[in-house]
Amino acid sequence: MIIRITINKIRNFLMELLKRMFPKGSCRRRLLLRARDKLEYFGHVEARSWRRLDSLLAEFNSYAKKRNKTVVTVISPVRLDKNEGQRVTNLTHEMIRKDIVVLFFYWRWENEKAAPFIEQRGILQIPMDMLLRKPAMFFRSFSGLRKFMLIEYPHPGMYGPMAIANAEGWISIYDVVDDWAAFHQVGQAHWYDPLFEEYLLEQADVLTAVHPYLIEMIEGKIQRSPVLVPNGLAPQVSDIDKYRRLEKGTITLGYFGYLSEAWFDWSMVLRIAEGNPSWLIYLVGYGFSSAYDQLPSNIVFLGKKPRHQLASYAQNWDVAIIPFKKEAVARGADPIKTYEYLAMGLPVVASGVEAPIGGEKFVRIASDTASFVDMVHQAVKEETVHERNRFARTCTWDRRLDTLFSASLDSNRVHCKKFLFGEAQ
Amino acid sequence: MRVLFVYKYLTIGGVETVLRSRLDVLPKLGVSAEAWFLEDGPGRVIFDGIEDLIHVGTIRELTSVMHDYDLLVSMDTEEVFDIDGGEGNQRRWIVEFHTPYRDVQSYLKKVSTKQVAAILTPSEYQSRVAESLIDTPIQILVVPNPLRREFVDEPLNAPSWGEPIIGWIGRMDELKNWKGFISLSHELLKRRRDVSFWLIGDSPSNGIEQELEPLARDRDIYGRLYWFRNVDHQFIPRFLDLIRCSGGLVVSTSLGESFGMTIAEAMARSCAVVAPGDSPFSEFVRDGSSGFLFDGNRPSTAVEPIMRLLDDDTMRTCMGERGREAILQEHHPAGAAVKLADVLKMILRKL
Repeated sequence: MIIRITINKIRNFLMELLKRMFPKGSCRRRLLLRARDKLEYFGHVEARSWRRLDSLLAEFNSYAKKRNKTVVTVISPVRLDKNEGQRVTNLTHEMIRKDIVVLFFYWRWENEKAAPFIEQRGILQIPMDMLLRKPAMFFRSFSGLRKFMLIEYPHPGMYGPMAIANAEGWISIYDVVDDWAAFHQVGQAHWYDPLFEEYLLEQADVLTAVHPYLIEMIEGKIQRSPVLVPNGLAPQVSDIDKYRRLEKGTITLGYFGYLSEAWFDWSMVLRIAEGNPSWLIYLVGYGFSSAYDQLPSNIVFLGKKPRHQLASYAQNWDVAIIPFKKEAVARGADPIKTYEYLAMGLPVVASGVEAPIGGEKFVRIASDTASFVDMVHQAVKEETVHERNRFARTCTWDRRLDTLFSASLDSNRVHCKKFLFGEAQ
Repeated sequence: MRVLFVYKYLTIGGVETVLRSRLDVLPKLGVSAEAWFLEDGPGRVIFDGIEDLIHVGTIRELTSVMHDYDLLVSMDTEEVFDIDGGEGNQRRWIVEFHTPYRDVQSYLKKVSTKQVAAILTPSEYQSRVAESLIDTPIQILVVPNPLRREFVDEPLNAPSWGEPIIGWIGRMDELKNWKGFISLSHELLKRRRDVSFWLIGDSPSNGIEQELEPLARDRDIYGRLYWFRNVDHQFIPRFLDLIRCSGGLVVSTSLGESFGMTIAEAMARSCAVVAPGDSPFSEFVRDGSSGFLFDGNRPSTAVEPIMRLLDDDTMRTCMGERGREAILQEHHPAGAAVKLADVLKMILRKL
C-alpha cells in the first residue's frame, strides 16, 4: 500500500509539473494536446477501441431513450454465452426481451481476446478491466434514464467505480448467487475478498439472494434482509431439436452440468453405479476430472453438449439426478438444472441441495447412497409429468426478473436514491 | 456600467454557477455584466439562453476588448496580472480573492495599486489573509458569497434512510482534510453503530480510492462509509435534505477555507452543522445556536457535539432552522447581488 501511495504521489507531482510547464490557455499546452491526439490516432488498437466505445455509448444512450428508458449495467464473472445457462445470461436475455439496454461487463483473463462489443442488439459487451480503467466513461454516459447496476459477483476492484455510480444515481443490486467464501475455501474464486463482499452487502441499494440459506447467512452478518429471487427456467430448454436415441438401462439416470469435484459427489455416483449394474447413468457436462478416467461401464460420459440438445438426451432418461456433496458450497445453491429437468417432465432425485420452493413434491432429497437409490425407485413410479412441467413453467426467468425489479422498487434506499436524483433516476 | 468577470475555466462548477446568477441579476441593478473564460469546457450549458454574454479566449484576445468595460473582475485568475494594458488599463481591475490554497494565494503578491482598485473577499478572515499578502495599500472589501437559488428554496421532505447520516462534502485534499472525517467517523462508530457516513466529494489527484479504501478498512468504517464521487452540484440540495430528514447532520473537518460554502449550503437547507471553530466558520456559525464549533486541529473534539445533536431531535431541528434563517439573511442571492452591485458602483465612482 505504501508503494502504491508513493507511486500516486510521484504521479501527482509529475502532473503538477506538467501543468506548470504547459499552463492552461497557453500555446504550449495546445501544441501538447494536439501532439497527444495525433499519437493516439496513429497509436495502437486500444485507443481505437476506446473511441469506438465512446461512440457506441452515445448510440446506446439514444437507443435506450427510444425504448424502455432503462439501462442495466451487469457485472458478470462470465462472458455472455448462449450455450451456457447461467443465471446472469438468462437474466440478461430477459432484459433484452423487455427492451432494456444492457452494458454487460465480463471478467477476462490477462491477454485474453475481448468479445466483439456487439453480438446481440441492445447488449454492449465490455471486458471488466475496461470498466475498472475508466468507470466514469460508462457511468456518466446515461443521463435521464433509469439506471441499475446488477452485481453478480463481488469483484474487489469495484470500490472506486461504485462511488462514481453512486454519484450518478445508479441503483445497485447485489444479487448473491453463491456462498463465495465456501467456494474460495475449496480453491475456487481465488479473487474473493470477504471484506469487500461485506462492504457490498452494506452498500448495495438492493440485496437479492438465490436461496434461503444465503439469506440466512447474510442476515447473520448485517442488519438487512435480502429478497429471495430463486433461479429460473428458460422454457425453450425443454424443446427437443431432434430425437437422439441412447441405450437404456433397467433404470436410466442422467445429469447435465458442471462436474467439479468441489460439489459433484463422484464417490456416491460410483457407489450407485456399482451397486446397480443394470442401471445406466449418463453424464453430460464439463469439469470432468482425470481421476475418474476409469468409470464403470454403466456410467457414460457424453461430454459437453449445446443447450439446445440437452432435452433430446434427457428424453431417454427415467430420472434426473443432482448428486451434490453435503457441503457449504452446494448448500446455498439453487441448481438451474432442477427447473430444467422438471420442465422436461423428469422426476428429480438430489443430494446436498434443497428442492426449489414450491417444488418440494417433485424433487426428492437423499441423505446418503442408500436413500438415493430408494428414491430413484420411487421416482420412476411417479406419474406427475404434467404437474412437474406446470410447476417449472411458473418459475420462468421472465418472472424472476419481475421479482428482482419489484424488489428494487420497494427498497427504502431506492426511494432515497430516487429522491436524490429526481428525474435522472 | 459594464463589468467583465474573468475566470480561467468554463467547467460545471460553483464559480460558473455564481457567475450565471450574477449575469442574470446584475443588469436589473444597473450593472451590465459579461464573463470571459480563458479555457473552454463543458460549463457552457450553465449559460444556456445568455450565450452572448460569455466569451472564451486567450489573454491576448482579452487585452484587445478590455477597454470596452468600465471594470474588470479577476476571479482568482492570476494570468490577468501579466497584462500590460498601458495607461488606460490602470486601476480598472478588481480581484475576487477566494482561494484558500496557500500556494495559489501567493499570486496576490503580484498585484499592484496601478492595476487593481480593490480586492473583494467572502469573509473577514480571507480579508486578513489578503492583507498579509499584499504590501501595497489596496482597499479590501468583504462581499458576501451568494448561495445558489436551489439552496434557498424551501427544504423538502425526504424519505427515510433508516439511520442518521453524517455528511461531509468537499474536495478530497489535505486542506479540506477528508482524512479528519475518516478519523472522526472511526471515533463516532465506537460510540454508536446505527449511523451512516456519507463522503460526498472527489479528489483532483489520481488514485484517491487507493488511499481511501485501505484507510476505511483500517479504521473499521469500510461498510458504513458511503462514497459519492463527484456529485453534480445541482443534486447537493437534495443530499442535504436527505441528511436532515435522516436525523443526521453535516460536518466539516476543513483546515482552511475562505468562506466555508459547504457548511453555509447545509445551513440553508436547515441541516444541523458541526464545523471547526476557527475563522471563517465562526463568522456565520454561532456556537450552540446555529451550529456547533469544535477545535479544528483535533477532529475528535467534534464527537461530543455530534453525539448531542444525534441524541436530541429538538435541538437538532431548532439549530437547523436557526441556521437557515441566519445564513439567508446574509447570503441570499438577491441580497448578495445588491451588495456586489453597490460595491462595484462605489469603486467605479472612486476611480
